[in-house]
Amino acid sequence: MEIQDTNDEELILRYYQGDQEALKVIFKRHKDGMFNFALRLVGNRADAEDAVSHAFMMVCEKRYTIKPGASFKTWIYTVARNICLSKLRNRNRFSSLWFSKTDSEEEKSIDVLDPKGIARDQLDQKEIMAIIQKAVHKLPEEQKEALLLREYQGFSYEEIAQVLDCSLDKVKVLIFRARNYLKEVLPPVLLEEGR
Amino acid sequence: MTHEEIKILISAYMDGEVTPSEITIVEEHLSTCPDCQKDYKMYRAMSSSLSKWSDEALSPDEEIKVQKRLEQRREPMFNKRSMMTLGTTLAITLIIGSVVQTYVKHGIQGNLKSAADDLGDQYSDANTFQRKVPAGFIASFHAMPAMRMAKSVGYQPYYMQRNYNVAQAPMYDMNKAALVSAGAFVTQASLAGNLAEQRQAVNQSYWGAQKETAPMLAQAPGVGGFQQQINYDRKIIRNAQITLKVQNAQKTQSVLEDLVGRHNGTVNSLNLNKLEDGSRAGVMTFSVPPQSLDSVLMEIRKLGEVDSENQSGSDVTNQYSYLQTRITSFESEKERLQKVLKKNADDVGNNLYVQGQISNIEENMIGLQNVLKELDKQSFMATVVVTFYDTVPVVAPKEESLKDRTIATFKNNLKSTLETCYYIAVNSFSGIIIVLSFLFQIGIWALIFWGVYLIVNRFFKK
Repeated sequence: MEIQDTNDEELILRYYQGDQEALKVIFKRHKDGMFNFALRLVGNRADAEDAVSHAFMMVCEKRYTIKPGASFKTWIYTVARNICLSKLRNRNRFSSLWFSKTDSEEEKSIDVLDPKGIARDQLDQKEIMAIIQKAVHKLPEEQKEALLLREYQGFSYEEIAQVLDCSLDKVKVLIFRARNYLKEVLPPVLLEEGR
Repeated sequence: MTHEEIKILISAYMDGEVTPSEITIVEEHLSTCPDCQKDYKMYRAMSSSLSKWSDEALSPDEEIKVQKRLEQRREPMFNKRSMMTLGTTLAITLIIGSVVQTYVKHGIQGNLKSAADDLGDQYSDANTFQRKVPAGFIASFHAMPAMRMAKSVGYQPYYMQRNYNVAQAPMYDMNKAALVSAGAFVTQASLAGNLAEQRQAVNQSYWGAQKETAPMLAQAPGVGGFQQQINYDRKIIRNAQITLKVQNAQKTQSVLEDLVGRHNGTVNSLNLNKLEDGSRAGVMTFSVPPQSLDSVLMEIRKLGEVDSENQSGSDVTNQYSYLQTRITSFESEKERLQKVLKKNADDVGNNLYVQGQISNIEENMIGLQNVLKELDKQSFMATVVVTFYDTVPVVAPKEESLKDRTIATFKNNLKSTLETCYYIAVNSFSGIIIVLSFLFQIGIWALIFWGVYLIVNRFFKK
C-alpha cells in the first residue's frame, strides 16, 4: 500500500516506530484543513499558523495515544480548537483590560448593513465573503465551531461531537441555531437557491 | 414532536444526519408545512453561499518553518511515558534491592546456607585458591567455602586468634570461631607467594596449630572431619597468653597454682599487686606439658571473663634434627681424629694440632648439645602467661540529705539541659550545612543535566 493511501492511525503508528516520512504525509494531509478551520475561528493568519504548528508539535511529543476506535483527525482538530480558544481568551482578556466594552468596528459594520436592501447584482465575490465572515464571527463560540466543522471541513455530526466533547443531539441543535441565526442576518440574496 | 424539534431535524436532514424514521417524519412534515419548506430551501442556499468563503493556503514560508520545526523536534527527554518508565524502574529496583538485601542479611545468618555451599564448590578449585583474596572478605563472608577450599587442597588451619571467650560461647559461636580461623588460615596461605611457599608455611607450624584448633573444630557443628591424629614425636614449642577479668585475683592465684600442680607443671614466676583504686592484678608464668595445654587453657577460661587470648606454636623438628645431625657429624670427626692420634702417637707436632682440633670439635658439640637441651626443654613444656585482675569492690554510697540530693539533681539537670542546647545548636548548624551542600550538589547535577540536554538538543538532532 502506498504511504499516501495509508490511514492516519497507521501513519501515526509508523511515525512512533521511527518513520519520519509518515509525519510529513500526515502534515500535508491535514495542514490546510486545520489552518482554515483555525483561521475562520480566530480571524488572523498568524494565530492560525501558530495553532497548526503547536498542534503538530504535540504529535511530535507523542501526546496522541493510539487506541482502537480513536480518530486521529478529531484528536488533532480538538487540539487545534483548544489552542484557538486559548488565543481568543487571551485576546479578550487583553482587550477588556485596555479598552472599554463597546461594540467593535466589525459589529458596527454588520449592523449598518441592511440585508433586505441589497440587490443581487450589487454584490461581488469579495463583498459576499466579507458579509459571511462577519455574520459567522457574530455566532456564539460553540455554534460557530460546529458550523465551521460541518460546512467547511465536512465533519460528520459524530466527529463534531468528539471535537466539541458534547452529545450528538447538542451538535444538531448547535448547527440548527447557527443556521437560524445566519438566516436572520444574511442578505436574502445569499439565501436564494440558484445563486 | 414539537415544531421546533422538527426544524432541528430538517437542518440535520439536509446534512444527511437523520435516521430512516426521522427521514419519514421530516419528509411528511415538509410536504405539509410551507414555512419549513422555505427554511429548508434557505439552508441549502445558505450552504452554497457559505462556500463562497473560500479556503486559504498556509503560506509557503510558514509551511517550511513548521516542517523544519517538526523535523528538529524529537521526543522530549522527560515526557509522561519516560517519567512513568523511570518511576516504575526505580520502584522495582528499590523493591528488588530491599528483598535482596533482606535475604543477604538472612543469608549470612544461615538462610542462604545452600547458596554459600554452592559458592564453596566454586572455591574448591585449587587454582582459585592460589589467588590472593582479601582477608576480611573471606573471613567474614566466605569462611565456610574457605574452609572447604582448605580441606580440598589438603591444608588444615594453622593460625588462630580469638578475642572472646570461646569456652563460654554457645555452639554457633564455636562454629563461627572455627570458620574465622579457617578464613584467616586461607588468607595467610593465599598471601604467600606460591603453592610451594604456602605448603611450607603451613607445614612449619602444622602440628602445633592443629592440636590447638582440632578440639574446637571437632566440637563445631557441621565442621567435622578436621580432627587429625596428633604426632607427638615432633618437637613443637607452644606458648599461650591469656588475660582474664576475675572476681577475686587472690583466689584466682590459688586456683592457678593448684591447676599447675595437677597438670605436673611448674610455676616460673608470679606477681600480684594491689593497685591504688583497691583492685588487684597479677601475672603468672608457668610451664605445663604440651599435651595438657588445651585442658589447662579450658580450665583457665572458666575462671573469669576472657579479655584476650593468644596462642602460638612453632615446629622446631627440622632445627632439632639438624642439630642432632651436626652433633653426630662432630662425633664421627672426633673419632676419626682420635684414631689419627693413636696411629701417629710419636709425632708430637702433629699430635698437638690434632688435639687442638678435637678440643674445638668438643667445644662445638657442647654448644650444640646445650641448644638441643634447650629445645628439648622448651618443647617438653609449654609456657603459659596468665594475666588476671579483679575490679574495685563496690562501695555503698553515703547517705545524702534531701537538700544535697536536690542540689545534685538540679546540677545534673542543668548540665543535661546545657549539653542538650549545645548539641541542638551544633547539630542544627551541621544539619543546615548538610542540607545546603545537598542542595548545592543537586543544583550542580541539575545544571550538568540541563547543559547536556541543551548540547544534545542543539548539536545531535537533525
